[in-house]
This record gives sequence, structure tokens and C-alpha cells, in this order.
Amino acid sequence: MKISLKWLRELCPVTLSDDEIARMLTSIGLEVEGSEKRGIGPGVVAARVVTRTPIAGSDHLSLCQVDDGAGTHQVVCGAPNYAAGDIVPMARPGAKLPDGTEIRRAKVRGVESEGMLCSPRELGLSDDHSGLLILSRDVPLGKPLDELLGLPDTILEVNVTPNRPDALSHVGIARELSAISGVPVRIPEARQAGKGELPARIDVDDAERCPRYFARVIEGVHIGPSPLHVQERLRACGVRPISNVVDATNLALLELGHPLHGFDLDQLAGRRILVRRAREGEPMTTLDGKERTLSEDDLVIADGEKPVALAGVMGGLTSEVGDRTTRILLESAMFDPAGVRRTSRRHGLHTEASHRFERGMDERGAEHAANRCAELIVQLAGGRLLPGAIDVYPAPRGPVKVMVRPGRVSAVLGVAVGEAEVDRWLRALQLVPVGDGRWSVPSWRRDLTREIDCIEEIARLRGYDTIPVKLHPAGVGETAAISPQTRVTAQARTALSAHGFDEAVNYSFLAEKDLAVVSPRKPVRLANPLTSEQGAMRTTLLAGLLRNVGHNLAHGVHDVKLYELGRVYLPEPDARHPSGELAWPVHEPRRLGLALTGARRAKSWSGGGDAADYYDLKGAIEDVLEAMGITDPRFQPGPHAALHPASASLLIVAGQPAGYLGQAHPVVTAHFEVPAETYLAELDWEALLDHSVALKQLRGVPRFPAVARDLAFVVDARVPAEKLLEEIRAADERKLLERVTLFDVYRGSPVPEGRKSVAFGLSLRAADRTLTDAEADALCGAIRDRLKARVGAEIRA
Amino acid sequence: MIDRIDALLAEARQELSGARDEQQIEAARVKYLGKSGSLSGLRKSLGSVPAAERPRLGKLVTDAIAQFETLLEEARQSIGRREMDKELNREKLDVTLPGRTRRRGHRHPVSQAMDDIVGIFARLGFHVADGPEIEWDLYNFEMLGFPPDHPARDMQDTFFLDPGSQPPPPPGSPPTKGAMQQLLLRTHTSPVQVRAMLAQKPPIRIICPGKVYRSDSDPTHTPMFHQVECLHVEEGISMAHMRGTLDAFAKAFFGPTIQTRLRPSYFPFTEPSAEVDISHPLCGGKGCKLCKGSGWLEVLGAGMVNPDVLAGVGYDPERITGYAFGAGIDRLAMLRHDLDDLRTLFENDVRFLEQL
Ligand SMILES: [Zn+2]
Repeated sequence: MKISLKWLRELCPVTLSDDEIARMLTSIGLEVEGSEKRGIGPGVVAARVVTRTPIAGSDHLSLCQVDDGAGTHQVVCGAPNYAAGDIVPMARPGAKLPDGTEIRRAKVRGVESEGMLCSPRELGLSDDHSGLLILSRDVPLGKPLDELLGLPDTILEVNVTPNRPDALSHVGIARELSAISGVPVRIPEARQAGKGELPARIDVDDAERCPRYFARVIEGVHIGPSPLHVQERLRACGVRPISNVVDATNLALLELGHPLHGFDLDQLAGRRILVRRAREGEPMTTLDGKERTLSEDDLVIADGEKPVALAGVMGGLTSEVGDRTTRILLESAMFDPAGVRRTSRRHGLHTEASHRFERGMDERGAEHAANRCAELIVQLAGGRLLPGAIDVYPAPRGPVKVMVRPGRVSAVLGVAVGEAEVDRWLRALQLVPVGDGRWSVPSWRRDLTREIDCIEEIARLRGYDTIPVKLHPAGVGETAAISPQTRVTAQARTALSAHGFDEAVNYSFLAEKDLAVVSPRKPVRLANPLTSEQGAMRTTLLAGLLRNVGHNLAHGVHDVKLYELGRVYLPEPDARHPSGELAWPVHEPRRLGLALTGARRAKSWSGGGDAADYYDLKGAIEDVLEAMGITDPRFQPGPHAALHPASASLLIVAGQPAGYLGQAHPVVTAHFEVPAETYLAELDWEALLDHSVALKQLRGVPRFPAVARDLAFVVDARVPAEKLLEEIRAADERKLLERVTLFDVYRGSPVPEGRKSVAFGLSLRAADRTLTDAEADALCGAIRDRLKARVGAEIRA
Repeated sequence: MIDRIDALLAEARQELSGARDEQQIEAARVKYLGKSGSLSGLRKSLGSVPAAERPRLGKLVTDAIAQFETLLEEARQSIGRREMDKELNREKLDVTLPGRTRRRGHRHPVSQAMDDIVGIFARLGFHVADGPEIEWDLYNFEMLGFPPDHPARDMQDTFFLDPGSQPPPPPGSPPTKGAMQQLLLRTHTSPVQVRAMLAQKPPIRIICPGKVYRSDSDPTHTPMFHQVECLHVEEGISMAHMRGTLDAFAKAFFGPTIQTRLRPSYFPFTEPSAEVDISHPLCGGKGCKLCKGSGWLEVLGAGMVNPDVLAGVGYDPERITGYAFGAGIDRLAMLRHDLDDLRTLFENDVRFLEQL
């Protein structure tokens, strides 16, 4: 909301500086977000064009003799729209225009020019640059333009929160300024309508949507432009001047906050108004020239035949006040906020009127607004205000009464507030005590219905900085315990960092086509995404991570290790919150995603630079699991749409799948434009947490020495390593095997084609004694025998 | 004879300290301890001293010989060390070659800030609570004082979900009891307030960090961002306690000199409501370009829980009061790191992340 400080000072004549006013408003919740100084400066004055002579050789320039009261000057001007005798603004040499231009004596086409004649745009008044601003013939020569326009002024941009429709006007802000400064408000008066028959008929069909309809009639108006200072005041507040009658309604709106609408009474069929619901599909053309199809939920103002306005939103074209209008029916109504909002949104029409009605207007104030506006119309457009009004107001609202207990005020604010202080602030807001601690609320404060509303008023006026800073005892003694999840998560993150993985955070929504490449699942879609690139909720972390890999490659970063720990969104019941009022609408499990491409280690003088592969990814995952205390992970081949069949594999934790990993599928790498050697994993974080151990049990260190033995076998190349490990463990009946390390895999001569050599280092230990060589030999023999029998392993010499 | 012993020892010390190699040491040994060595000679001459003097002088001579042997040993060691040093100095490493590093990974600034915040609030007695990001209108808006067709909804541009892609509502969930079925992406972490209060009785002291969504995108707004919600509800809670927690949090996160300031504002689910400013950490509250000269930065919204919200979850607002606030974590993180374009946070550019 734009507030003219000059206007505000007329309504509440404080002696504060502009900055002090701005600070004061902000401190009571009317945040001043910016300010703009308006003014043209003393160097631009009214002057009469005495002669206008075209300059030879130019198709548009003229040489003018101009009289500014103090003397005659010659000025070169290129505007088309003026003649000798016109009064126009002249910028004298030395004047500085609002856009920063400094006016100097200059030679134009060899002709001396002693100033400049100005267009509205050059004066910062509007965007109009089609010609000079033509002033009224009765303006005294030499009068500074600022004086004509009511300038200089400062315009504040005030952010009015949705609960304060009463503050959407100069009077509203003045009331607030008055409450905090103690300077009384001076609201412009208007005579009551009195008695009289009006030449119109008004009926309201839907009193719920239109609790009050108040109207006045003005006859004999002359439509024309408003005086410059009125136009300037409107423009300064962001409203385009149109004609005197429309300007008067806007002026009243900006002053009092109540939306008003003037109809051309003679264009209303049957000179009647019917406030009713639209018929489904009924057509109407609004003031902006748009043809609209109405819904049954839209409330319209109709004449004897058709809708002439969308109630509380916008007038219609047919009854618009035009050049030939002489009789005005002035509407000042109250419409149901929610209904106006629905209509405004349905038709995409956000107007000054709808903005206010949907926040709730003062139905009692509607009458004063109409009377004041009617007088403004007569002031600006002449004519005669007919006595009497039509007031359809079947159920007048009585004032709201609220109980305010000083003890409760103190309890909520945490500082003692006495009865006298409560009294002082509520009176400042024009609440009236009605006894027993109850207060009658002024009709414009529709937001004050409960005690807490009044407590807030007292708090903001006495100042939030008067509330003490007190730490609750819970903040002193009751430290919350570190949850196991927090601990395990931190441990996993440390492992990921140690492996060189940077943490990514991606948007939860992305292009559905990106998701489709890596996951067959149907996602939940947004109904109103910002772009189609952000249209679907992710069902996997892989798509985002692959986009990140692509982004980095495109920016010359080839070694990328990223992880993301975040939710995916699956259109299915959430197993952890499946039912009841605390159910989650969709399944939002957390996942750990990894993506890896480029060098295992950066290339340096001592090596590195070799490409990372599946086993780098797997090793990182193994270390993460180890950090989380997950002891028995297994990896087995298993297909996945996003993964290359050669390495696609499943992570099995406690016998259940808990994720997948492998090289990206060629279709995937092509889609995301990432290298073929990109490795991906996505783990089920909820499952991992379930099987994690936050605080591990410790056992001390062994007391008896270990015996080390190496064994090498030649087996069929297709036998998986895990099978060999399984058989080795199975052969260890007395549980002497402390650790098995697979330290070599070899294919090629002299190992026969189709077979491989696999070497294991064994560490054998008994907890209660030193093992003998004989015991170790016996176990190694058992292992050899078992592997020979089970997988056809030959012992390598 | 005593003088003679001292003179011999001094002479031997002199000789040995000048010895450059094993031969010189051996020569000295022969000279003093050999068959005709001077110290050996002294021992022989003991026979010619009076018997009464003999024990005393004998001890002196034995001690002198022992001393001489120590000197010999020291001389030998010193020569050995000198030769070792010569050997060790033959080759040198280029210590200016880069070391073998292992590139560490880097935490995302938002998740770092989130961890810090959770830690700070744990010390203040707050537990972490959780809630879904895809929410019902009921919990995101209606029960927080945003009725349908209310202009307060304009304060939060909302992403709605395509009804055709939604799963059916879970059994017993609000839509099965008549609440609006339309799902949305939560616009703030505040629905967790409602869920927490429906789930348990006071006292409630929770925080909820998480993702929130608004359909807005420019350098200072991303359509997804992170908030942390704080809710403290029990008997006897006042706005002064709210200030206490806010102040403790701001000082713990930004440093002990940070000041907080409250300005009246409006949120449908709190009353009184406040915008909370902190003194700008970068300029120390003196005012600079980033804080538009004010010295203050708006970092969060706060307020006393609206009695209607408390009544809505079945609490008695006359007895139970509380405060709540929500802070943008991304903005807090950016402030700590002097970052100005919020969108950088979600590009996941390695060149950005590895600065952390
Ligand atoms: Zn600053």
C-alpha cells in the first residue's frame, strides 16, 4: 500500500520527520518497505507560449517565445501538441528534472534555447511522452509546478498484513499513527444523506453474500479530467487517473479504504440494481474489455436485464461512466470476503476492490464512504447530490465486545501490564469500555474478536522490545539425549567424507522423463509446477544425482563423487505411518544415493588418475555399513533398470534387499550425458537405520597369538568369491578362523583357460590358548578338502 | 703423585677430544694404558710408596684409570656418530613435493547448519520431530488458521499435487473423515506442530527441520528450501520465554554478540506474531549494503501459538500456552558463509561444495 506522507499528515498532523514516521509504523507492525520522494523542483514553472515558429530545415522543431511571468525566453521545442496561448511547464536553465536531467542553455540547430518545455514523462508524472503537459489557462505564470501538483511529497510503501484491511487506506494508517503518537486523527467529514426519493430501485437477492448495499445518486455531472493535484495524488499511490468521477471514487478508496463504484445511471436497464448470483455460463464483459463466462458462485450486480458488475471485483463495460454520463449511481456495499476471493481467483482478477473485500470491509463504514465520495464527485465533476440514499441492510451488525483481563495480558507477554496501561492502549485504538472488563470494538477492526487479539494490540503498541528475555528452565537443565539415529547418521557421513564423497541436496521435484529413465515407478505429479522440468516428485535419488554429474562435467569437473541423503515420494501407504489421523498421505522413505565417475584418486607425481570402478563404489558402501555397525551385508547379482547388467547388484542386509548398486546402464548414461563409467547406488536408509548399531559392544583385544596361513586355489572362473568364502567358513567347525582376506585373483597363464586362481590369507586364533601348528594344519586341510569337494578347487602349489 | 694423576688425565682428555679416527684413539689407549703406558706406570709405581699411603693412592689410580676408560668410550661414540651423520646426509628428499593427500568429501552447507541447529536445540531441551512433506490442506493450512478462501493463503504460494497421481487416502486419515483430499507440498514446517500436538499431551518441546516448498524462484527464493520449526507448549509459557529461546539460539548459532529484535507481524497460527531480526553478523549491526544500512536482518517468524490452534488439537488454551517459530535454514547457512545467491545451494557444483 502506497501512502502519501503529505496526505497522512493532513489526517494526523504529527510533527515527526518522515523517517520517524516510517520507523514508528514499522515498530507497530506496519512495515515500511521503501520510500520514494516525489517532486519536480523549483526550476520548473508554468509559462505561456507566446509564439511558435517552425524552424527551417526541421520537420518537427519549433522556436517558441515563452513568457514565465518574469520575462520572455526563447525555447526550442519538438512536441506536436500545443499552440500559441497554451500554458505549459517550462524548465528553466539550472533546473534538475526527476530523471536527473539537468537543463542548460544550449544551441539546437544553431538556435539558442533558454530552457525546455516538458512532457508528463519528463516531469516524472506518468509515462505519457506524446506531447507537452498542457496546463489550465488560469494558472498564474511563473507558478512552480510542484505547487500545482501538491508536491514535494514522500510516498511510503507499507506492507499491510492480510489481517489488517482497516489499514489499507490513509485514514487507516492515520488511526495507527494516532494511536502510537497520541496526536488525534482528523477524518474529513461528510454530510449524512438525509431523506429523499432516488430515481432508482435496488434489490438484494443474496443477503449472505451482500449484507449491505448503500447507494447515492448525483445528477448533472460533467465528465472531464481531474485537477492536476488530484491526478498526482492518485498516481503517487499507484492509481491511474481516468476521469473526475472515477478519480473521485479512487480518491475516496485511498482515503477511507472502502471500495466504491459509480454506475452511469442512465445505462442501467430499468434504472434498477439487482444483487444476485450469476447464472451458470452467463456472459459478461468486464471494464478491462474481457468477455467472461460466469459461474453460479459468482455474485453479480445486475440491472433490469444483465450483469453490470462482478460484485466487489470489477465493473462491467456497459454501465461504465463515460464522456456523456450525467447521472451517477454510487455504490458502497459490503460483500462476503470468501465469495469475493473465489470470484477474483476464478477469473484471475485481482483489483484494489477485491483485495480489500476479500480481507473484510467495514460494513458500517460503507455509509460514510459513500457520503464522502459523493461530495468528492460534486467537487470534481460538478452536479448535484440528491438527498436521500438507498440502504439495503437487513441485519445490521452490532459492535463486537471483548473481555480483556490485565492478568492474562501479563501472563501471555511475560511482563506485568496493569489495568491503567491496558486502558490506555485500548482507548488509543478507539475501543470503548462497556464495563466488567469488556470493551466494544470499533466496526473497522474486524480482526479483534478475542482477548488474545487485544493482547497483541497492547503488545505491539507498548513495544515488543519491552518484553523481557527469559530462558525457560527446560533450556537450562533438560538437555535432550542424542538419538541413536543422529549418531549413526553422523558416523555414516564421516565414512562418506573419508571416501571423498561430497554431499548433494537436490530439488524433490524434477522432470518426469528423467525419472522414467532410472525408475519404472509412476511418480506423484505437481498440479502447478513452475516448469515441466520440475513436474514430478522424485521416486529415486538417482535422477537428481545424474543431473549433478552432468552439470559438473559440463563445467569441466570430471572427477565426481556425490552422495545425497533424502526422501523419495512414493504413491503408496507409508509403512511407518499407515493409518489414523497421524497417517502420512504418501510414502516418504529416506534413501542414500551415490554417484561416482572419474579418477579413483587425483592424478599426481606419485600415481593416481586411474579410473574408479564398481569396487570403489562397493568399498565405500561397505565402509558406510561398517560405520553404521551393520555386520552382515551381502552383495549379489540382481537386475535394475538403471544399471548395466554386468554389475547390477543387490545389497542384502539381514536377509532383505536394502539397496542396489552398479555401473549405470548405457541408456541412462546416454540420457543424462554422463560417461559410461558412471557408477550408481541407492540404499534404503530406513532399513539401514533399522539394522544399525549406534553404540557398539567392545570386547578388548585377544590375549593369545594368531597363526597366519595363506591358501591359493584354482577354480572355475564363474565361481563367485563369496561362494569360496562361504565354503572356507563352513569348513571351520571349531570357529578358529578370525579373519579371511582375499588378497589375489589371477587369470591367465599358467592358470588354464576358463579358470582362475584365488588366494586367501587366513588368520586363525583361539580365544583361550595358543594354537599349535598341528591345529592350524588340520583346519587348512579341512578347507582344502571342502573346497575340492564343493567347488572342484585345485590347490595351487 | 696426586698432581701427576691430574696432569695425566687432563692430558688424556685433551688428546681424546682431538681424536679424528679409531687409530688415534688406539694410540692414546696404548700411550696411557699400554704395557709401558703412563697410567699403567703409575699402578706399577704404587709398590714404592709407603704402605700407609698405599690404599689411598691405589684408589686414586684405579679411579683415574676408570675415568680414562670412560673418556675412551665417549671418544669412540662421538666418532661413530660423526660417521653416521656423514652417511645420512648423503641424500635428501625434496620436501617441497606435494604430499599424498586423500581428497576428503564435503558436507552440504544446509545439512551442516541443520546439524548445528539440532544440536543447539538439544541443549535447550528440544527433541526432533518429523512429518511428511506431502501434506493435507487440513494440517498445512486449515488447522493453522488459514481457512479456505482466506487471503492469508496468498502469503504462501502453494504447489498442489495432481489428484490423478495421488494414492487413495490411508484408512482413518483426515480425508476419510471429510477433510479436503487435495494434497500439497507443505509450505512451511508448521504442520508438524499440529501433528505433534495431536500425537501427545503437553509439555511439548520439539523442533522439526526439513524441506518446504513455495512456487517462487529468484536469487533469494528457491521453490524448495529448508526450515526448522520450533514448538514449545506447556503451562505457564510466555512471550518472554520465546524471546529467551530465540536469543539463546541466535547467540549459539552466530556468536555471543548477536542481538535479536522483534517486530509485530501476522501469521494466522500465532498471536501475538513477530518477525525476528538479528543484528547483521557481517557488519556487527553497524549497517552495510547487505542489510540495507539498517544493521538488522530478518531471519525468522515467531509468535505465541494461537489459542484457536490449541483448541483445534483439543488443548485448553486457558491453561496451556506456547510459542512457535520457523526459520529458513538456507538463509541462516548463507549468512554464515556470506553467500548471496540461494540457487547456488542446489546446483551441487563440486567447485562450490569443495570450498566447505
Ligand atoms: Zn550489515
